[in-house]
Amino acid sequence: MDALILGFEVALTGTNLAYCFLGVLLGTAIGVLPGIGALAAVSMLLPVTFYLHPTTALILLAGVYYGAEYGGSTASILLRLPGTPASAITCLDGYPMAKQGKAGVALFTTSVGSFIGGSLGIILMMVLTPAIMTMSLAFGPAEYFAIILLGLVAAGTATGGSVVKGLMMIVFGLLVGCIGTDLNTGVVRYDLGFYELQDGINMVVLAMGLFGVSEVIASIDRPGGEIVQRRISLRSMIPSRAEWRQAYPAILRGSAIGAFFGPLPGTGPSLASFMSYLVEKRIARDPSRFGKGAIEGVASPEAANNAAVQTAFIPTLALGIPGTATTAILLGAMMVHGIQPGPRLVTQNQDLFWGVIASFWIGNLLLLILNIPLIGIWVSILKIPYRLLYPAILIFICVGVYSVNNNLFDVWMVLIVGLVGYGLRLLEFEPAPLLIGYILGPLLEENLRRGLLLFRGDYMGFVQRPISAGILLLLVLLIAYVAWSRYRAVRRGVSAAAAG
Amino acid sequence: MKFGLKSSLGLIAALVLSGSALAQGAGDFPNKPVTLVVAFSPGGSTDNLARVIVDDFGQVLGQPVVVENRPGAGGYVAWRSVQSAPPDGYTVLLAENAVALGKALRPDEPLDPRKAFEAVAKIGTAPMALIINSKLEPKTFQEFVEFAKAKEGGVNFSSSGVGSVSHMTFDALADLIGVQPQHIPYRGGGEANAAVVGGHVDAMMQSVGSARKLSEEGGVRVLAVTSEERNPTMPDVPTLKELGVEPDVELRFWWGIFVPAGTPAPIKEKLAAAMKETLERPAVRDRLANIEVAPEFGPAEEMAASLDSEITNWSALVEKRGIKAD
Repeated sequence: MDALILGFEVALTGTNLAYCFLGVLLGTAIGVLPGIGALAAVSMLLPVTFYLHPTTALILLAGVYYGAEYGGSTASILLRLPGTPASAITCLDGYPMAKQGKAGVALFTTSVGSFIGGSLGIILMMVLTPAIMTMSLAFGPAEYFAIILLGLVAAGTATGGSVVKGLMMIVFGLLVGCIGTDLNTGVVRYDLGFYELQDGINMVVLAMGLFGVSEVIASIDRPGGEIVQRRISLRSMIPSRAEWRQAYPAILRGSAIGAFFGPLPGTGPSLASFMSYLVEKRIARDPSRFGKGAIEGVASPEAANNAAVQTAFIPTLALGIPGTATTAILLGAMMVHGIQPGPRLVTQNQDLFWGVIASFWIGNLLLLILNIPLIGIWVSILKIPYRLLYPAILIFICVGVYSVNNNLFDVWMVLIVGLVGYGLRLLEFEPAPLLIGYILGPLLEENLRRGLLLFRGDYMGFVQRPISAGILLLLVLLIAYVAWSRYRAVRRGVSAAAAG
Repeated sequence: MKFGLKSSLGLIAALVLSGSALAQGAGDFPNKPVTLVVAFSPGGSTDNLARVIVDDFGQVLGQPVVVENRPGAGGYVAWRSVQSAPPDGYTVLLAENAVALGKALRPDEPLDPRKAFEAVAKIGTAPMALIINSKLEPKTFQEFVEFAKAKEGGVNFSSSGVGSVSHMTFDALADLIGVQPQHIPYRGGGEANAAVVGGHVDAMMQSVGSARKLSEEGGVRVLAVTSEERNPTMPDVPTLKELGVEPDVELRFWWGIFVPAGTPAPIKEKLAAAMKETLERPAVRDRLANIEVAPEFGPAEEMAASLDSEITNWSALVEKRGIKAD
């Protein structure tokens, strides 16, 4: 507790507070611009931070990082432009809400959900750092395989619309995920002779193409005008009591799920968003509302994403394992400043560690204060007529996608993916399961094969370890439950038909 | 807070300086920003090095230097773009081991770094260390060799990917001590470290800096270092040379700068001189020490010769061990 007070003392000094604000402000601005991710911003800012005190530098860079995660949801709700897989999930119900004139409510829910998720993530981080460190080290290939399989199966059983179409999209996503260099052998798959495809299709390209570009194409045959014509009052931004009653338990559930998945390197925030969305859909009384503007579908993944972003700092700071490319830069920044990340960071550099953690909370609060007044401005973007808005969006997409790898190939790719996405839309296939398959497929394969190498080809290795065995058992129960509830539904249908 | 004001002044001073220094020699080169191409994503070790030197390098040159990450195809996306860039000194490649390894692993690749690029200078190196999970039995390098030979199915090691420095150097070492290890590739050094610390994998070749950090935390044991001399921070750890293990390839990270073939000599000299001066700056040296890179300026001829011998020796090893990465 003393450590935390020390942390707040460090974080609340004028300089640190100013840089925290600057960081989240920059982050929000970058997050709102589709495609230009935190990665580019943090790496460009890195040399500037050499002239700052290490704690201040880290506060600034981390602020940009979670500010961008926060801002990313704005573009996905308003314009269906997700820059990360996590915000692609927010699109699913956020964009329909925007089209129904409830963009303000969606953004408000996002802001509050992110704040609560982030705060709970921080509290867990303060309490559970040692436990979480042990957990992320105990996770080997078998455990990752089990948890990713669970995610994939859960996604398969809970996709919207036709189950068969959902499964087809997951398989399509798995195939798209196969493009690129095989991690184990270095053999290149399906590159069609393009160097640029040797690392697979970029995630940002896929998300922006499937969601953003396809939306722009679809708008061509829509009658002109704006997305929302109505005037937006402050009143219309605040969720109604009924909406709030649906949203807040979802926020709490999302935060818990996010905090759990956050520390898993490489998968954290995206898996957290997917899982929280799937949980909401599964426990909802009327799952058919999802995809058409269900407020839980916005609240829970946003809370999960932000909680995960916070807990993802645990392996970064305490173990030196970066979860994402952006956290890798943060690690680099620490090293340049002569700070070695590791368990001893917590004890040796108390003021830095707790100062940074306290700044996370202050940053989250600043984001809330910053974003609520901005909602009105964001929402008014929707009043811009299509004929002006959509060409501008297309330019933003191209610039954003280019900025990821400085590669023109990606710009062509996003346009092609957009056309494919439009085709899928016409055939009424959903893009989200495709994205899930694309992200989880390679991870599943990688951990399965890594596990088999380590267990010398013995599949029993996956069930002989307690954690993976537990997760796999949960998976069997889930499948059994789904099968049983289907069977019951069918039998009830039969007996009803017999009675009638 | 006193630091705040001082650091802000420093920032302003740096910005002013970078714009006002005068260009000398080599015609008016440079009269516009210079691009420093990095073949890997932000956050990697080469990117870290680039960000550490880029401001000072720009100040010395008299024009800003901009880092451009062009990741993809194990480095080939960046290398091909540098190859086809105009040879005017405004496109500079910050190269690392991957340039030599890439050629050795893909002998059919038309791009030959020895012909496509001209060396400007060697910048620095980082020695490596052999680490094993601390719960394993071997306490010394000799015991590890016996353990590795005796282990059923072979000892396994993690790396940051097929064809990466950590993969290739481990294989080179295994070749010298006569064992057939099982390679477990990961995505990046952080994941590979965690696999050793968590006990999922036996061993790994890692930079001395990371190795020391991990051993201080108790997760791993450091058995040997690849540098010529013992590392002052770990005086108890023997060098491979002392242990009688002497490879023909460099078991360490190295970095250098290259320009497209055909760049005029005065421009190359100007870039080399600016890099030499950059590496002499105390602030740069401090930062390099923090990221565990030893600044080691070497002239163009030295860099070119070492690239040449690296490619030859790695190619021989790749063929002998049957390592493949298409």
